[in-house]
Amino acid sequence: MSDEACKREDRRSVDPAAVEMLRIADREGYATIWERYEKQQPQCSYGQLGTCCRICSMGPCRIDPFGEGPSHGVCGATADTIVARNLARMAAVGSSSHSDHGRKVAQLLKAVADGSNTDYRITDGEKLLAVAARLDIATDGRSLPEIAADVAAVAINCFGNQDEEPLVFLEKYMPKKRFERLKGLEESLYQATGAKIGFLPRGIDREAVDILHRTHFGCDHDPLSLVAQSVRCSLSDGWGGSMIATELQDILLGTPTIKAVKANLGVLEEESVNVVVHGHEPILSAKIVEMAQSPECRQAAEAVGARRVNVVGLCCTGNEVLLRQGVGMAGNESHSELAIMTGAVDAMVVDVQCIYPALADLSSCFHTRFITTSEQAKIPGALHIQFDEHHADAISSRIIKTAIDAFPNRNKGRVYIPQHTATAVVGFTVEEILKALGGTPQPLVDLIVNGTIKGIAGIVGCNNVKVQQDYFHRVLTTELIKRDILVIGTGCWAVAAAKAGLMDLPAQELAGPGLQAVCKKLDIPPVLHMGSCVDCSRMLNLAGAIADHLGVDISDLPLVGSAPEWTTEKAVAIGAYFVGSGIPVHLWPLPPILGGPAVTRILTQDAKDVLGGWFFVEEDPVATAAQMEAIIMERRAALGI
Amino acid sequence: MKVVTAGTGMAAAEFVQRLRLEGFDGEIVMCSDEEFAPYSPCVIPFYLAGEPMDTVYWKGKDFYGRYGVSARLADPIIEVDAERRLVRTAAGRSETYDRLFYATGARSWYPRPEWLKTRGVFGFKTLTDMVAIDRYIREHGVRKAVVFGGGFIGVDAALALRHRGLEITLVHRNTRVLSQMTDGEGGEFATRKLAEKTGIDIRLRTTVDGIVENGGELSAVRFSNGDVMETPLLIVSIGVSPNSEPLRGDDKGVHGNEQMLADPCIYTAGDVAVTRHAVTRAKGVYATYPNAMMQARTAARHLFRGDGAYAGSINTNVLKKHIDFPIVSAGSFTGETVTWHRGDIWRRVYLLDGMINGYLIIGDTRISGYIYHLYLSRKRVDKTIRAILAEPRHDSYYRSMLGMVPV
Amino acid sequence: MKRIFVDYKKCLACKACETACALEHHPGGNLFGALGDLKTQINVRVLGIEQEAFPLSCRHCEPADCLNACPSGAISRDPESGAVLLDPALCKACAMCAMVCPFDAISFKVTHRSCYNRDVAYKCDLCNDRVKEGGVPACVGACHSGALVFAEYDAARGTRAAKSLRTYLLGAEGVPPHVELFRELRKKEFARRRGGE
Repeated sequence: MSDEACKREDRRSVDPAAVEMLRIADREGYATIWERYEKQQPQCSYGQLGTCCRICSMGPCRIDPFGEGPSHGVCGATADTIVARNLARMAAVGSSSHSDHGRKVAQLLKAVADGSNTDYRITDGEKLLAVAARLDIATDGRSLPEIAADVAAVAINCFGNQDEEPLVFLEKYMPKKRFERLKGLEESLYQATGAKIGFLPRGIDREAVDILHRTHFGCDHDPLSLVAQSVRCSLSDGWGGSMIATELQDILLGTPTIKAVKANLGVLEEESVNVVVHGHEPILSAKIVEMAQSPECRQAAEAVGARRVNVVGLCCTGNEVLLRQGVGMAGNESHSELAIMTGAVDAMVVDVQCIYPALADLSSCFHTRFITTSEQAKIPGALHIQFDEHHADAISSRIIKTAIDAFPNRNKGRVYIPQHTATAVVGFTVEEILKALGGTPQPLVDLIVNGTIKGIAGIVGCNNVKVQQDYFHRVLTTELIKRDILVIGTGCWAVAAAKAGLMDLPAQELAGPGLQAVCKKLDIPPVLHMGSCVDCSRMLNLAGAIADHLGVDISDLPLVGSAPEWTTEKAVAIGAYFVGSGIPVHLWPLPPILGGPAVTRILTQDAKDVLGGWFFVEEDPVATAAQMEAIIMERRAALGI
Repeated sequence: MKVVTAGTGMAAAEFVQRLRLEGFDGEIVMCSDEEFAPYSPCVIPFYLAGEPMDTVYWKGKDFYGRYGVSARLADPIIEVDAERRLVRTAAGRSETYDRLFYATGARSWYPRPEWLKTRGVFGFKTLTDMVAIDRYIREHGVRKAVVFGGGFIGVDAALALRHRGLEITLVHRNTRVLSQMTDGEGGEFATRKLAEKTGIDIRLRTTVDGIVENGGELSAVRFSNGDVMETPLLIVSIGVSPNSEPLRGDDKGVHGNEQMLADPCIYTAGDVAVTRHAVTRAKGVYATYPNAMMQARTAARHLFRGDGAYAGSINTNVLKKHIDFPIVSAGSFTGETVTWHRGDIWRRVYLLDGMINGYLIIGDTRISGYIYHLYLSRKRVDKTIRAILAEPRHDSYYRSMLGMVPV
Repeated sequence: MKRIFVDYKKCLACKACETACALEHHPGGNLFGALGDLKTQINVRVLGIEQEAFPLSCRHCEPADCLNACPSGAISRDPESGAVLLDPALCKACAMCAMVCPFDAISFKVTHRSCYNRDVAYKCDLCNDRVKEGGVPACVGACHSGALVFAEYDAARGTRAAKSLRTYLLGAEGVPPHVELFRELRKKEFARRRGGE
């Protein structure tokens, strides 16, 4: 079914598998995010404008945007203060989610290095050496565990660093010009105002705690100061927590390589035990994929009449195992309920982030075991099997056994697997891209300079029930490649692009002539999957590699970002660290800031001069592509290319 | 001027109240075959269901005193002598008038009037009926009843008695209950849902053909299929006919003109009156409360001020008694149909020349007011009606107000 | 006589009106008593019509179709305030009123005012006691953003009624630019979902 036909057929999703599943949901009366969204209408505009303050118990306070009612909260907070504080808290939560994920990876690397964890190992020694070199850690004549211990120590120290110096990871990874610009900005603002306003993060935990502190009742009320701290905290995520997560996961689990995979609900197998891994942390999911292939699990599956144990991914933990282990990708966030409705999922195993609590209820309508594993993500109605990195093999086996035990209870009459999959060529890490280019960014730079490729757009995901599922992702991506703009990205966007076939080689035909020729020459799709949402750090690294290669700032490069269909606070952090890194970022749906005119101005206008990156909002995907192209062309003009 | 009302029903009470509120200070005499203050027939089944008797007097129990009325009760009018401008009663009394308000209503129609001689067989039309049924149930510890006739009154009776705790068998000749206010498909849906929701044993395509008595009291009824069912109580509610004999000599109703005049000195209104339909202009008895009110007000205004005209009757009706499952209908069930059905809600509109000719809304009153106003307005709705009926949030009125009805 | 008007462009769907109404009509009069109490009566409901929000309540029409349709004498008009009032002691929940109300402003359920342990019709009473003491209805008092306006019926209609003669809808004045932008973007979002462009 064509996109257009899907679009007409169901206003909830353009994905043909989703359209089929929603028909079943409607018929059987299964509740979905779409149905619950309808029941939530109308949603409160104070929240949408960002002007509802619930910080202290004199409140909640709301500011009348029409200027007739209250213009200040009880404490005197203005609309801009309230909006900025709320935004800062979103950035803190988003950053913390990524960074806390990174912390666990760093701790695991430490445990592997000191031998206290034997369930994991250093899989990618080459990557370890590269990271160590980046961090100025001596490698000559040292064993991998010794080096790993030092890398882990540096990473762990980034979380708890208590001095006023910038994060080591950020300092070592961020391109020089960007680092200098932010440092200079802090100094010039101090000279101009006599007040400290910081952009360079000091400690990962500290910047989030700083926001919790300064947004406490009666602290920071200055919109500019609050926005600056939001950017700083987000930078501690992008160049800190997320960077650590990505780099250290590569060391432990292997750096992804280019491979072809299948995406969409058709990866579920009627005759196999289907285990869907959903969430974000591959420490668990990679292990489940590994253990599912063990002879023991295979025999157990055969004993209940199943062909095999088929582990498939969903959301970002899916992206992680997709890139590293080549498993099938069942879908993005909005597919999570639909997957269960196929009746063919024997277990859905979740770790953290973006897991609808509704999945527990829905699973109970089927034989599906809904298994939570994280101390930080427990859901009433789920079966909790506590994950512990030190017993990862045993716990993963137990989880797979639980799925195998559920298989015989599957009601075959209720199984319906929509037969839709698309092929996607994925795994475009910075390492793989540079390898394809011959080890240096120069060929890519040349292509950009001579205009064969106009620029690069980085897109990150989520689905959002307010947008027809995948519609914005698909149209925006298609429009960008048509304009000879290379599209890279991560997260649920990447899954959307994969499902749409945009990451398959035939999608080259959709690209403009310049990009098309390049892709054909390199035998790559025009849309590159760089990983999970935590792997947005890979996009920063690519930008950094080009900037350092040319000796310029990221904000000089023809790069632009977008988070269409964004949902989570993590997306706020990603957007803010892109902006803080000098990349303009498009957002849709509307972020909750419009109630604060000054905050809106800072984020959409002033940031352009101050940071070189800024936010803009656009509802129409074609218009968004046009704006992104205009930004790229403006930057090309400024570079004189 | 002396005004006499034949009847103390809702039309007559409204008429008298309006006259007094307008300032009419002449003599008013109200005559009735019953012994009560004006009461609401719509409400009386609730008395049977256990609610206080006083609530049936919808304009107050002290109506006669409050409005300076001489009431001649428990003595039916048997003849109207329009020549001499007087009425005669069964007890042999007569009452002269300058203006007569003839609103005697309707009465139950019985296929076998002799059944009523058996104790335990009742009609279901008047407060007298309710009082008698109530007493019979209490005195005989009745736990079970058969209701014969599944029209509005029959269903009303079944629901009230069920609410009181009786086990009910509802016997109806047609393929569906409420056959006058429903079409085939809607009526069958409503019948099925009513049976599901109430547990009432509904027997369609069936009549009560005979009764079995024991010492003058009902002991069983015999259905048309030969089955015999033991029951101490039978409600006969298979139809009504207008009480027009005293004025017209037959039971075909009393024609009222635009001023509700049946004769230069006789107004008519309510369930005995024949009027034109506001939309179709067809003549008929349109026996609903709102029609009776408007007819009585037209008559009162004309009597006191000499002007005004009746705009016509509307055959809207709703049945929602004791359970939250309303059935709303109006107009004629002819024309092109547009139907929407989801779960317990079933809606159908009949379109003629693009306008609503009739409608049936079952299970939920939402949007029924909007449809009612669209029906009366005679607006073309053929392009929008599908969306109006199907709007999942039942907010099509507000959508239309904000200019958001999708075509 | 005063009526409640709706400046719907100013409604932010915060539902403060619903809460205020629930408390006003709850015998406990406090939030914790009303929460989770199935008999809590809320006479105003904020509808979401695409991107617009709209507090729905009885408009106290003159003449009132519901009043004319009520066969049990339960609906009357207060001659002083003009409020159309519903007496739960007389109401039989027969739905004659609901059947003719275009606003769908009359609902049925067992409330704290039910007299016979069954459902009863309920609707906005214009906070008649408050109004007669010179106050405003609870919902109007709770509305921060000026979406609910308690004003003289004729005066408000004459000067501010929208041109489409939607009697109770006021055209918002002085919507600031950032709110206009917000409204515009929301409108686009909903229009795309609906399929209109």
